[in-house]
This record gives sequence, C-alpha cells and structure tokens, in this order.
Amino acid sequence: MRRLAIVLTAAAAAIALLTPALADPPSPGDPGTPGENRPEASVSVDSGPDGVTIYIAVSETSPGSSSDSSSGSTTGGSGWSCTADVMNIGHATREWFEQEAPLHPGELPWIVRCDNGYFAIVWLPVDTQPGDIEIVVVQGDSLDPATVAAELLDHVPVPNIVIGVNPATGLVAVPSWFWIEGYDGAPIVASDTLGDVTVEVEITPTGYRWSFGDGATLATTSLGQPYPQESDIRHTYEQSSLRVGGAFAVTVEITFSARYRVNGGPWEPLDPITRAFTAAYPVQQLQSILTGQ
Amino acid sequence: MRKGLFRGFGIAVTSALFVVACNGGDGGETRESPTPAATRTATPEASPTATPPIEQEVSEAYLRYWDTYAEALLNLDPGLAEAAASGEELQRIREEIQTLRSQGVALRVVVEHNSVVLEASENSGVVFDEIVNNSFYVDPETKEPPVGSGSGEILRDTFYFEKIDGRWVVVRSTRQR
Repeated sequence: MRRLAIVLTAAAAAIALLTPALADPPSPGDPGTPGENRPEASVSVDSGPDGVTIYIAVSETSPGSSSDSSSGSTTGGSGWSCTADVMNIGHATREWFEQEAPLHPGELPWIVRCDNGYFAIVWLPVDTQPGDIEIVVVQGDSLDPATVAAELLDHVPVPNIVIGVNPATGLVAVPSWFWIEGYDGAPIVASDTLGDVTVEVEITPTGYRWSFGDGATLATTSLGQPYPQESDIRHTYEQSSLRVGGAFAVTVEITFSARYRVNGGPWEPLDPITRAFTAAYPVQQLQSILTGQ
Repeated sequence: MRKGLFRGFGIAVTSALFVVACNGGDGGETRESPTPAATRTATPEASPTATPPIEQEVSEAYLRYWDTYAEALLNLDPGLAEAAASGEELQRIREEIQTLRSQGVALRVVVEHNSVVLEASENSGVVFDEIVNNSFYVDPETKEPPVGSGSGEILRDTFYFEKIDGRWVVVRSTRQR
C-alpha cells in the first residue's frame, strides 16, 4: 500500500455543499430517502495528464472526526491520512464488480481508506498508478472553492512544449533562431465539479524567459516563429558546446497568469505559475581548412 | 434494475446481491427479491468459490440490518433497530425517526442493493452499497399508500460493522456523494 500525499484544509465558509436544503414537509406517497441524516462526504475525481486528484469534502460529523481517537482531532479533523489502492477483485467483490464495471468503461475501482475509518470507492482510469494520485481532504460543512482552484492549478494540462531551433546544430558566430512548438499561446482551462459547484481555472501565458545555456538570457512575450520564418527569438553563440558536454541546455520558462471562477461567476485571481521546458542544443565551431592549392 | 455483464475477465455471471426492502406487510420488511433480476447464470469458466465465513457473516448481517432498519422506519420504532445497530448508527436512526414523526409520516423502504464487503476481520467489517432507492412516505397509522413513486436515485452508502457480544451490528454509516 502506498502512502499518498494529503492536503488538509480547514475550509473557510464559502459554499455550502453538504447542508441539506430546507423543504416542505413530505406527504404520504412522496419519494423518500432512508438515511438522509447519514454523515456525508462529497467525493470527486479530477483526472488529467499530470495525474489524478481525489477530492473528499467531509462533513464535521464524518466518522472519526467526533469519536475516533486515531484522527487525533474532534473539530477540524487534522491528521486525516488517506490511501488509495486498487480494489482487489476477488470472489467476494466479483458480483459487485460485474454490476458496476459496465457503468465505468475504461476505469477500475479504487478504495480510499482514511486512518480514521472513512472509506470511499472511486473509479479511476485503468492506467492510473498509485504515484499519480493525490488525495485532497477538505474538512467542514463548507468547501472553499479557492482551495479546489489551487489544487486544480497544479493539474492544468499544459501542452508538452518542444523548443524549435534552426539550424539544428548551431554554429559559433551564426545566429540561431528559436521558437515554441506545440502550443499557440492560447489560454488553458481546467475545471472540476464538486456537488453543485463547478470551479474553473484558467491560465494565460504572460511571458517567456529564455536561457540559452551559455549564460545568456532573453525575456519575450513572443512564441517565436518557426523556420523558415525569421524568428524574433535569436541568439548568437560565441563558443562551441564542446566544453559543456556537447550541447547547451536551452530552457524556456513560461509564466502564466492564473484565475478561477465558480459556477461561471466573476473571475478571481490566483498566484501565477511557471512551467519550464528544456532542449539540448549542440553548437560547433567552424574550422577553416587550407587545401594547399 | 441494473444488470451488467463484464467481459474483460471472461466471466459471464450477471447477478447482484439483490435485496428489495419493500412492502411485505406491515413490517416493511426486507427480503430477497424473487424477481428474475436475482437469477444467476454461470458459464463453465465462472469458478464457484465459496465466500469466506466472516465475509458471509457480515453480508448476512447487512441484510438483517436493512430488515430491521426498514421495520423501524415504517413503524417509527427505533427499538426495532437495536438488534442490528448500535452506537452512532442507532442514535442516527433514532434521530431519523424523530424527524419522520415531526413530519407526520413514516417511510416505506424500497431499495435494491448492490453491495460489497470491502473489509472483514474477526470483529469488524465494512460494507459498501450502491442502492437504488425507491422508498416513499406513508401515513404512520394506516401505512397507506401501499405503493408510491420512488425517485430511483442511487445512494452510495458505507456501513461499518462491529461484532459486539457475538453479534454483528452497524455502528456507523456514511453517504458518498
């Protein structure tokens, strides 16, 4: 069993997710629900290229928070520690699995166990590895969407950017042109829904900082232009890359502004984030050769 | 009623632990469904394996819990649940019944279970159940109407069992949204 990273947050009063709404008294014949006063936990899964986040928003009367000494807390629930493991599909669980699997194509059931006794079942993509999973436990009757947004920010699917360069092998004293491939600079959006609350996070690039591996840097707001166009991101090396192991490490660090909104409401700012991408770039020194003619 | 056929494991068994807590009389009892949904069809490759005794005990205790729980909600008598619930769960049932009383109704429990024993040891067990709920309110005195329109909602509940004085009881439960 693998211990997973936990983020525990005492949520500020924000959006009530777990408080049942008041309703008219029921009449005979109306639909009813047994166990309406059971302690609830809202469980949501956010799956992206960077991994899987399992959000658990628990009410204050969830198991362990009031009586289970293993949680070490009676109010905030600090000390929740949860793990997720693929459910063992044995004989005892086979029938259940056969019923549920068609409802979750391409997914397998995982059991989330918390050390205060809380259990949940979530369905995750079949290729999910334990190391890909982060469990976020939010304690309280309310869920702070900023907390969800901050977690979501870590999983925004930034494209796999490639650094383009021409010539493919650089030459000393000859300008090299650089550009970004695989991303057009458009805003990137990720969202997650917990209960009735949908949190959207949007990131937008605001600048690109290039490091050419020889100590030179360049800050731009441009993605550059792919060859054969003449890129505005260029650098002229003064030495070959022989002394640094055969290639310079060219890095572009992209700064994204970030913001989030709840249920399509107004955007609220988040701290900017950066993502860096690196490529190895060999640079050679041209040698003059005298032929003796 | 849901039926599923999972082909990835080469198994063609399509059955569920299917129990309907429905109107079997004044008690609102829980009983195993006699409907075709409970029919089990096994192909030769489905190897019949006996459920371990403890898991079987927990599973049976779970059905008993629903029997008594349904009786308690229909008759607004928390004492009926004492045979299958204890601690936090029993207190929760008392509060639920108190709420029903204050609303002037009782609840006839009509549910389909698809449960699984997640853990079972000598003295504790955990059952997860995806419940199709079609329960409906009735008059607390006449128990009318005999049938109602349930919502068909799916409830994902987890039940925590402990063996107390040689008897499996539900000590708490949670609902996963």
